[in-house]
Amino acid sequence: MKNLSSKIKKRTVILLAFFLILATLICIALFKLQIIENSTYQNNVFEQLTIETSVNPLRGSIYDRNGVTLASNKTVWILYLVPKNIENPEFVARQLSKILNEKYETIFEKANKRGYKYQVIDNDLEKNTVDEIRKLIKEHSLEDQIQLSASSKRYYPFSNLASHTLGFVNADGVGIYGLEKVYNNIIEGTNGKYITAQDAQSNDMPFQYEEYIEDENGYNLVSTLDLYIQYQLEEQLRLASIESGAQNRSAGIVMNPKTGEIYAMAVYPSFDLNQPYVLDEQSANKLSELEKGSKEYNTQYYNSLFAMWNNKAVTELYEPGSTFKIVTTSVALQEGASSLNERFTCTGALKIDGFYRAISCHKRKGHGNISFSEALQQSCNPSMMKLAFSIGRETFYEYFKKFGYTGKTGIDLPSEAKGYYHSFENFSNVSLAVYSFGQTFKTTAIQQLRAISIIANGGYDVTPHFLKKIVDNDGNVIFENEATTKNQIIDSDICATITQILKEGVDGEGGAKNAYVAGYSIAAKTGTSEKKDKYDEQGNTSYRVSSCVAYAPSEDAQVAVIILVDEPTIGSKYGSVVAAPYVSKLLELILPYLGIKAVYNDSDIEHEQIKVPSVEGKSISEAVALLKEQSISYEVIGNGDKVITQMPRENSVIYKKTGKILLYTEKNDGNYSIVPDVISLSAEQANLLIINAGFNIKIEGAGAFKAGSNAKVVSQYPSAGVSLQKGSVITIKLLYDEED
Amino acid sequence: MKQLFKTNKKVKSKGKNKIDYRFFSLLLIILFLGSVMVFSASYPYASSHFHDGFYYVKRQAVFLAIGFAILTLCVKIPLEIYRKITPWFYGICLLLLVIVLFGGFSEGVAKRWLGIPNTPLSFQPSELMKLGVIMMLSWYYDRRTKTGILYELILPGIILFVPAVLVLLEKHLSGTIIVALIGLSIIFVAGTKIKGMIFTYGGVALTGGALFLLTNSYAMKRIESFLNPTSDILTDKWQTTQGLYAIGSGGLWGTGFFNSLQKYSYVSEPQNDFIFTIWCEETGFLGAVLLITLFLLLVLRGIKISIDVNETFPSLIALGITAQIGIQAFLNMLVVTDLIPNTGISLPFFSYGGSSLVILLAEMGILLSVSKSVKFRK
Repeated sequence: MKNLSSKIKKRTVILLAFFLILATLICIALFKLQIIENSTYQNNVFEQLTIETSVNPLRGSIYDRNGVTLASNKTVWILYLVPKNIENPEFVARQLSKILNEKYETIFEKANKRGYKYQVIDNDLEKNTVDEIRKLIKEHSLEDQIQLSASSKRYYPFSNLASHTLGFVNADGVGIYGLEKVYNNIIEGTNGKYITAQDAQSNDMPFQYEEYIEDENGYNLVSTLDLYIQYQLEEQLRLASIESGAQNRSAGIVMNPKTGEIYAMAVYPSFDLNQPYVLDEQSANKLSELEKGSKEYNTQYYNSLFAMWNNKAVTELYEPGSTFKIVTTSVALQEGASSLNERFTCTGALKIDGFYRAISCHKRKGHGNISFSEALQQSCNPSMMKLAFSIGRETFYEYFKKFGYTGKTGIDLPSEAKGYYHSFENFSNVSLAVYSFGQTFKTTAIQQLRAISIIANGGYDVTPHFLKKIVDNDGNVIFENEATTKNQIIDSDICATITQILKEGVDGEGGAKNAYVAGYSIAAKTGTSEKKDKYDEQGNTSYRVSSCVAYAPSEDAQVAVIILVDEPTIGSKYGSVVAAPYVSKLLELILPYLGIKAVYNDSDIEHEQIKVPSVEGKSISEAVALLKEQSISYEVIGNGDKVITQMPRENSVIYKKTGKILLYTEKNDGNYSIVPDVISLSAEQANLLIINAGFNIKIEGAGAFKAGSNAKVVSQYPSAGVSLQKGSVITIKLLYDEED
Repeated sequence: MKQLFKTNKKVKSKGKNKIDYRFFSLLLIILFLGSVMVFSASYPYASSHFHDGFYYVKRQAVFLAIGFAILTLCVKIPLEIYRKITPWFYGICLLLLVIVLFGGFSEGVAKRWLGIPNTPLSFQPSELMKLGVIMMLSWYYDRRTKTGILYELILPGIILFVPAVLVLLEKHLSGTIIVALIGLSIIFVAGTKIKGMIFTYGGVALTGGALFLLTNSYAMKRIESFLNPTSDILTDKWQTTQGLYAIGSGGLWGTGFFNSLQKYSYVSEPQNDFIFTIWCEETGFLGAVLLITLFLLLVLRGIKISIDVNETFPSLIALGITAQIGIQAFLNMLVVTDLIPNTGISLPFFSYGGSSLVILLAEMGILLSVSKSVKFRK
């Protein structure tokens, strides 16, 4: 047996070695799994173990410069079912379909998904609906079957106001347009996380495994917008569009020319930020011709939506036309290429080398011999071309760049368009000639207003912007956007000179007379550019973009405005008619609001208006004393000793100088007169007729009451032929039918 | 433990009739760790299935008690008795294997249980058969005097392959493999020529294996799942993958006792075959290496006993039992580390299971009984 015994021992050792090899192998495998790949496996385990619930932070609000909320959040409720707990899906579906006014089948399908833990029915419920559902849950003890959870939704209290500027958020709460997009990172906050552990059967772990990563609410944005100015701009833009029958959208901007702070920016028509997928009326009409649900319909719908959302003031290009002449003349003075003493002769056209025909002035018969100032005020094209040639191709192009026409303004809005212009190599003499009066290159409304602001603020470059402050929820200022001084492009005295010329043009015989505002010094320039790339039905280039730029007070501009009307169709298409009157009205409304006092000159004072006080019921002596005190003319009619009625009535507006109050002391209604027809008359003529007929007059329309002005009455109310009590107020509207 | 070793030294000096306390100590340590692990691993499963986290550990305690009673009994039985009853025992085991084929019941897919279902009174005859084969082969080699193919290869082959085939007929692949490996270990250690073993047994095993695979879709599926690891995680590969997640996430130090995350129904029935993965998760690489070392030491000690016994029958019994522990333990680890296909092999002293624990402890008793006859030469 010894033989066997030694053999057994040998074989046993081999067996032992075999086990050692196995053990080593296992250890190597374990080393790989536990040491080398440890983190991978830990992640795998963590991932399959944990359910991560995202906790949405509160998105920051957007305020106007005075703290009025323009965008914030409101609570909405998410309604979801827990199908695995639902005992009677038919009942639940029937009840909910009644409350929500939704199809029974849709809800039933979700309610009947046995074994599911979560089926969302609606994620945008309002309070009253939620109350009804709560009642249902309570009455039938459906607590574990129907559940509600509060959620927050972006809300814009002013719906349409500043829609293109504010922008909106998508279904995930991410800003996709406007300020909501640009400042998304700042206002969105940081998502919180709620992590819980579950076993493989989706049951909660018996031990407390919870991790809560606090969400951080977004910062609030204080914008430079001003609710009041924004509102007035939108209103004037609306009127300008409707009254001119504009086929395309209109745009307008109000900006502080010194700081670049934008007070208002609007595109008409606007859209409802709370329902951004609802088309505006104009687009909806176009769509209604198509069959709903068809491919064309859908394509058109989305095209219309994208078109509607675009902020025309920064994303669409147009040829600025005559408003650019401000730049041409400034550069001419800055470079010494011309002087105020230079005179120009305009024959109505100018032949340029390299172009097959003479380039005409808008005034075909020519401006004749005019001064530098007149050339700008009356917007003479040949004079501009001459100036441009004096400046020279290279220098002109250099300033063209400096004024920002070759780049973007850097405004804090998405998708700003870059100008369309010729490269210097292609910038020919002909280009130089037509650039001088703002044609053949394209820019955006914001770029144009920025260029004008440079002249308005004394020659300094400026960046238009909306960001004023970033504030956290405790009111701490995180960031304040301070105006930075930028390069001076034009000398301040030259800016002052150009401004003075523009102001005088508005006050006197310039093309921008309709921009006049009584009591304020306004520098303005209108422009009308031909759309050379779009033909009407006759194949003519009859489409126009009519615009007006203005700033005031001219000696120390606090505000710069642009209004741009695209393709007006009713009446005159000139910017002086289509845009300037609305700029005037807008300035009239916002200048006092900005705390700028009106200073009336003689001509203004002549037309100073006054609100009529009430003297009815007072004795004659009392009434007369009161009116005398306010230096209002009056006429006592009848022999009574008490004022029974007065004409015009309380709060009517009359002219202090020519207006008169009629005090009726007897019940005598025989004192009537017929309203005269004053349409197409000048202000003086109309005034005379109306006063002589025993009425008071109220004139609307900028600067129209200046002596010797050639403005004409375009409308009157009440209309001619109506019999009215003497002293009643007849309102007339005057406009210059001026070319640019 | 120190106490135990001290006693051991005293025993040595006396030199006779004392069990091998080193082996016994190792066994106790492993049993202790195993029971603790059964508690930790089974807690969530027991909580969710029986609303009592201690369900399994309580039962395991009962089995341990029964097991130790039987162990003590086995230690007390003299070797001569084992020698005498061996053929009978072997015969009974064979008979039980035949009975289970017709009258057994199943827990899961394969039909391999006898007794009263779901009670401590149920057991797998294949578990018993492992001991049957060990004892019968040892008995055979003890008596064998002649050489030649018949005595060296064919007769031991029959002793081994008859029960192996019966276990295979139960569709119990892992059981078959283990029975075969245990038997082959003994035949190998008994000095059989390797060439002969390869030609005869290799041929038989290949034929049998091929036939089994071809006729058994259940086993095929398991093999496929191993060969194609990218297959759906939610089906066959789930258990293996979750086991790897458990092992891998343990890292160097482990998540700490009772802190396994994978035992929460990710590793399904973590108290059974995959208990080692939970051990690895909770005790880390260091714990895993410690346990492997403990098993290696146990095997080493068992082999030492086998070598030290200068008699064929007890020596081979000790070897067989030791080989069984090593084979089962390391195959189990190879399975859960995804080095070989998942065939359902439990980890001795760790995996929960009444009958197998009791039988294992009985085998330990026999081994310790053998250790009593060691003649110390130092």
